[in-house]
Amino acid sequence: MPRDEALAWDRRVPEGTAPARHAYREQFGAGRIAEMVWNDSSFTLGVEYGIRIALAKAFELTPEDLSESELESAALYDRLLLQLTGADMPDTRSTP
Amino acid sequence: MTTYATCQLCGEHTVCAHVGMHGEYLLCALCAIPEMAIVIAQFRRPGQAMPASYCPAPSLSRSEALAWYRAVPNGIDADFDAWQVRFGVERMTDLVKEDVRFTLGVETGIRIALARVYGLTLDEVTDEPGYAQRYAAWARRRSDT
Repeated sequence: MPRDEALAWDRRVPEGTAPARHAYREQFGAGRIAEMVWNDSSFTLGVEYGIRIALAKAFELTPEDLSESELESAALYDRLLLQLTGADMPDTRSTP
Repeated sequence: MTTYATCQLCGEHTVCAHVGMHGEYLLCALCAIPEMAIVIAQFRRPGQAMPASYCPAPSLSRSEALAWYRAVPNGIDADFDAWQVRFGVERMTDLVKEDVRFTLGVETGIRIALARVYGLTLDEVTDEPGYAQRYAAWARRRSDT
């Protein structure tokens, strides 16, 4: 999963984690206690935090990353593309 | 942690070197094929540190993620506290953060995210080849009864 998908997932976490939890349980199973509290509100709140903790650590996310609006993300991507297409990049291959 | 290497073609520029994600493409932006956007997006200009937000790959390596996945049952307090200090939590969370259901949820959430980000498999996380097949057979028997 690339960084932009991780950020998008992080933003969607408060909307609910049921599909992700279901997919995980199907593939990896869950312990007996976890099964008992699977839909408990404290447990699901914990799952939300767990997902966000793991994403933040895996991608070294910052508070700024997480507070960025989608528009800001798009602007960041535009700036990246501009840099990568060479507008202000020195062409060191032409120097002897 | 994010690691860097030198461009294998020009030997001059620094490139992001996440093993496994794009380790075979250690080329800088000037040497890389323009169409390879996923490759180009990870490069930085000479002498400049590449902002982490420019690199699409996770900073945590797959083996680090796997080790974390396995260590989750040992406790998540340090991870949660570090996250709380940096990002803050809502009042509701403060009230339930000592609840065992909440901490079990955090553990599960971390594992859900790691499994999805790194595409982990059951065999990998148990470090036991064939475990997934045995688990599936057990789950089938359980659902039959």
